[in-house]
Amino acid sequence: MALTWATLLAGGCARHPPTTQVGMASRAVQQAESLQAESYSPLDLRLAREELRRAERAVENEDYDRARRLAEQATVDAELAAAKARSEKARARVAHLRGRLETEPAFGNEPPGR
Amino acid sequence: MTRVREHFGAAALMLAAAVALGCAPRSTAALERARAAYQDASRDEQVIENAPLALQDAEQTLEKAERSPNEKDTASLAYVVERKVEIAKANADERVAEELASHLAARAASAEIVRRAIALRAARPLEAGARDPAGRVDARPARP
Repeated sequence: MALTWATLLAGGCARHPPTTQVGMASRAVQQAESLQAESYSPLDLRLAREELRRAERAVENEDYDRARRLAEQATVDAELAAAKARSEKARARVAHLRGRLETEPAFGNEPPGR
Repeated sequence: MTRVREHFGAAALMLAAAVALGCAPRSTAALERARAAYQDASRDEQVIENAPLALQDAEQTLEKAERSPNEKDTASLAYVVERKVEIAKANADERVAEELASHLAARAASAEIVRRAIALRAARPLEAGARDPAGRVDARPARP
């Protein structure tokens, strides 16, 4: 009997809430928010928040496997939102510097009208 | 003998429950998509060069998805792989843009120094001209 239970548990049905994974997801969403992912990658951030909410609901319903999967998805979606925010900011910096150099007559670029 | 049969019955019931709860064998549709996404990125020079760790992370998750005996876990991990591949691409984009930005920033800083030097050179003759009894001003152009 004990062996049957052990086999079943090893097979994946969780007894404990995935506290670590839900915590990670929550932190990943906060990290993305702090990088202004709301402006740079709103869809990924919205997806992450929604999955985190569903993960928390699954924990309340004691559906721990589902909660863990949702928390993992929320984490990766929040991380993607953050990664996109960072790369968009870097691109914006490039565009800004290019603009500055283009209007700079002293360096390599002829001033307009010459 | 009856006890053994009871145990089998309990085991079968638990297995049925496990299947109903989602601990069932897997399918591979999502996995195929994840593999294709990973392979695509793993052939991209820019990603290989600029986001090797993120790419490795995606690969490890793909292996985990392939090993998982649980269909729902496999599908979920396959999704995670696709998103990790996207993260690797975004990280590579960020790195390329950062390098370009620091190069441009250095150029902008040099340009600023040149601009100030020119401004300084243009200002000096005016000061000298103010002291010139003839009131002559060196009309050197402000820009070369």
